[in-house]
Amino acid sequence: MLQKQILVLFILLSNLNLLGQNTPKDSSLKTITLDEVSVCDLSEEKDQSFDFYKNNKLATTEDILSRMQGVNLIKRGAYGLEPTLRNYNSGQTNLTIDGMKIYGACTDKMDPVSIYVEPSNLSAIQVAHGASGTMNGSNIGGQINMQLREPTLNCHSKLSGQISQTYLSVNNAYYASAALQHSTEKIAYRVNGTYRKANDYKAGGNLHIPYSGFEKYNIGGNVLFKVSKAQLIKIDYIGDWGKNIGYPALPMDVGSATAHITSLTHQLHFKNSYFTKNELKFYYNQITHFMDDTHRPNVPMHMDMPGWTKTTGMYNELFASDKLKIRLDFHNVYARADMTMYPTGEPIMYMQTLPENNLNNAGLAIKYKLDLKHKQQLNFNARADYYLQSAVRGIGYKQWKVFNTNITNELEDVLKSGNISYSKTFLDKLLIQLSVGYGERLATSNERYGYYLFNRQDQYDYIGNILLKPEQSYQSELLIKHSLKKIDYSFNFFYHHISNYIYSYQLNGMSAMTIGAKGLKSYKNINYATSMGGEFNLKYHIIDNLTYINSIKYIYTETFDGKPLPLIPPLKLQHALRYKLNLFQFQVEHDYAIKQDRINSDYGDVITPEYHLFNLRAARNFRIKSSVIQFSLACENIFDVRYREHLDIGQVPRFGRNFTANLNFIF
Amino acid sequence: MKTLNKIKILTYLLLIIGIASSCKKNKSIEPEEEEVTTPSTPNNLIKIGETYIVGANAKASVYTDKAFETGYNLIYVAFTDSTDGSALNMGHCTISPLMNMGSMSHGSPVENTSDTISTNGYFRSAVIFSMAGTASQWSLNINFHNHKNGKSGLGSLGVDVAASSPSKFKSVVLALDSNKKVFISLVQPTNPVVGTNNFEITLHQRVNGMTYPFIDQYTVEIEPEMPSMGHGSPNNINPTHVGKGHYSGKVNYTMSGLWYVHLKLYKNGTLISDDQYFEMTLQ
Repeated sequence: MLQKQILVLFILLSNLNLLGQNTPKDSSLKTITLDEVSVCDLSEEKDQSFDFYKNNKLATTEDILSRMQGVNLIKRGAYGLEPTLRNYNSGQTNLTIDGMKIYGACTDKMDPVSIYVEPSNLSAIQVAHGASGTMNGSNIGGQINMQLREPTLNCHSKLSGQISQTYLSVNNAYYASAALQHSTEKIAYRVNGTYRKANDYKAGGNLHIPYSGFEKYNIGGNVLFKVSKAQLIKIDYIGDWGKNIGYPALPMDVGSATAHITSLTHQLHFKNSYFTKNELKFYYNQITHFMDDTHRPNVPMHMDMPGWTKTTGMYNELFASDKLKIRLDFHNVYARADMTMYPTGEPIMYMQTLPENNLNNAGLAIKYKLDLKHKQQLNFNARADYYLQSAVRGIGYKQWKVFNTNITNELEDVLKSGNISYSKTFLDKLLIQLSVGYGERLATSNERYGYYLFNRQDQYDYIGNILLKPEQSYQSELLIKHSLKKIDYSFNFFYHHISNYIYSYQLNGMSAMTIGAKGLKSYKNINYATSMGGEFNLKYHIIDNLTYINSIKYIYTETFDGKPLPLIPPLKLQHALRYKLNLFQFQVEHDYAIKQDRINSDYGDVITPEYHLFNLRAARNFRIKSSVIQFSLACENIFDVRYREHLDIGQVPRFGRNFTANLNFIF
Repeated sequence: MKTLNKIKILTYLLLIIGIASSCKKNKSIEPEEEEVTTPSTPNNLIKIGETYIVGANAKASVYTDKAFETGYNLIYVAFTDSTDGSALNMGHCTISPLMNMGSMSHGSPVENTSDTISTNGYFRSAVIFSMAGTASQWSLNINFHNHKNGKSGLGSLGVDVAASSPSKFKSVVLALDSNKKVFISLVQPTNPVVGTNNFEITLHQRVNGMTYPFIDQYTVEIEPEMPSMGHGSPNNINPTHVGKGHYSGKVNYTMSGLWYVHLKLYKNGTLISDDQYFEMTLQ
């Protein structure tokens, strides 16, 4: 029985589960559940022997994200992929770590914050699309929340842990990670560490991609105290150190990227009360990002581009089981990015590419679930935010005087969002859910204060615009989910109308700063843009041990005057056939993306050809007393196809044929 | 348990109120920084030397805001009664610079004040030194008409003039304007900063060794450039003639480092010079 459970979970969570976008729990295959939030559950179950299922694979956080429904990744290098939700980029979505706000420090978006956490730090990744994902902050595209893993009290008196190692042939990469947990009735500790070292990779056809290697360390530590029967105190820390992360699509690499993520959490559980739990968290997150071109030959001059963000915040969440959640939060973020150039024999050139600025935000959010008669359900969530942002009176302020703009003026915004969804289940088999929502998002610091930020995609320098109005999105979504004996499938359709869409325009007669850039652009609110599309998921249990999985997604976007939006993935089909027998399993996968020729040439989009990709995976588990050894092998891109995704900046092709070997030991 | 609920709700309300009030806008609109302009009399004047004005019963003390160098220099002269040492604030002060090169000598452009009353004790003039030289070569001949006693006299003071670096003085022969020899001198910015700076030059014509009238007929265009990157800066304002050969505008710098400000001179719409530039280093 235990073995079966191990296998089920293994299949669901291991790297064989490339297509498990929904990553449903086994039970969800039979019963219909609401799917407004897709959750990738990385957590162990209470039983210790499940400890390893999250760690057995050494997939990166972005690997896991890429498999989640509606998540696409913008790629600039082998590492540091920017998650987007459907067509919404990182500025339009809200990425939090355990409910904490954190901001990448790179003005070129080389460091989406997902690179600073490792799966071994996390218990789950939650994704909610559109206005249903605004609990943690105003946005229009949805939210990604990476839930930190916490040690469990009271279950083990002994030390437990796991060690994992992975080798990738395509870039001669070695990944290793280890986690240890110790707990007693009153106190529990967990420490984990991950090391990754990758060299330059080869794209299909043995094409060497220079500047694509990277190296990083990650250390996580958690302590949980049980203060009393009803009270818990938790201290979490994640330290992440990236080194020499190559970005082949960009003219510079990252010399170092460091994050410190710290928080103190207090949990209070109520008994016999309407409210069940209150959670109060204080946090401080700091990112330091050093971009340079010291490894690049033939640069006109050496250049450094460091960036810093410091986020201080708190939130208080009050729960009434899963019916009601009230969240109150506050945060302040300080951000700054510099550029220093060292021409030979001349004075140093210095500029603040993101002038020092402070953003303050206070928000109140509420989420309420109401079960009605006849298997009907209403879900409601709403949020209001107050933002106050201004730049510091320093160098950046002086720089901006050149444009007759005083960036120290305080910019004040009140943003609101809400979503309501109604669902009804028919005959316990068919679920229909209809949602309508409204969301707003603030212009990002780059869009407001950015100063000659080079965009690799269209080769223009960008300056910000402090007069940008928030984007406003009106959204509707329909979900149909049908569960039969052997087949489960679901359709998702969405239509979003975004008013005041933030779009680029060229500043005629103004020259660029970056050598080789075509000109200067800024941002403005255009009338509107629309986005519509859908996702289809199918799971077919052909025979007991053989399963077929299929997932199709498509997005169609355009501006009010009929131009497609940039960086929109084409129609994509992913399907797989999976076979399992006792402790052995085998999977063959096929990915297919059609040609994307709906491109936005204003933004430098180019046509991306179609591709077919085939992968093979196999794994075997061994049990030795209470320990488990797990071994898996895979061959990805079997036919060594040279391909790229439409969201790959700079048209740098992806991995060629790649053999991976993964070994895990759990005790 | 209901009381617990109430307490929770109350706590929430208090928190909301607390945060809302702490976020109350503190919108003190700060005044824009004053533009950097040269005050009529700077505080830290450097004394160059003094000379008796023979015949006017006066002594002249010569000050400047920075050591003399090629290009545009401000000169502040204070006069005292050579008998009792009291300040002389009324009179006419006329300065003429002279370069003695042994076999020949020449002057240079000068802006003399028409004031007959000193400002803060000083008569302010400006001299454009056209070359570097020692105190035995360059001299300032100071003519003072002392309104206290009605007498006039002349004094002379040798001054050291260093070569400005980077040069704030350009001498150019304009083939397209009847081979005129024109002096271009940078007045502002003396201390360029990132952001917006006043930009001011003077234009003078060399008629002969002792005659240097200002030019007010030209049109001037500027274009800043970072030579090592090839880019410029936006929203510069071309200098226009503001009087006595001074052309004033605005120059913008987007970052620190080495900048060139390229100059184009036009006369009656014809481009007559486009190869001159001032070099500026921003720290």
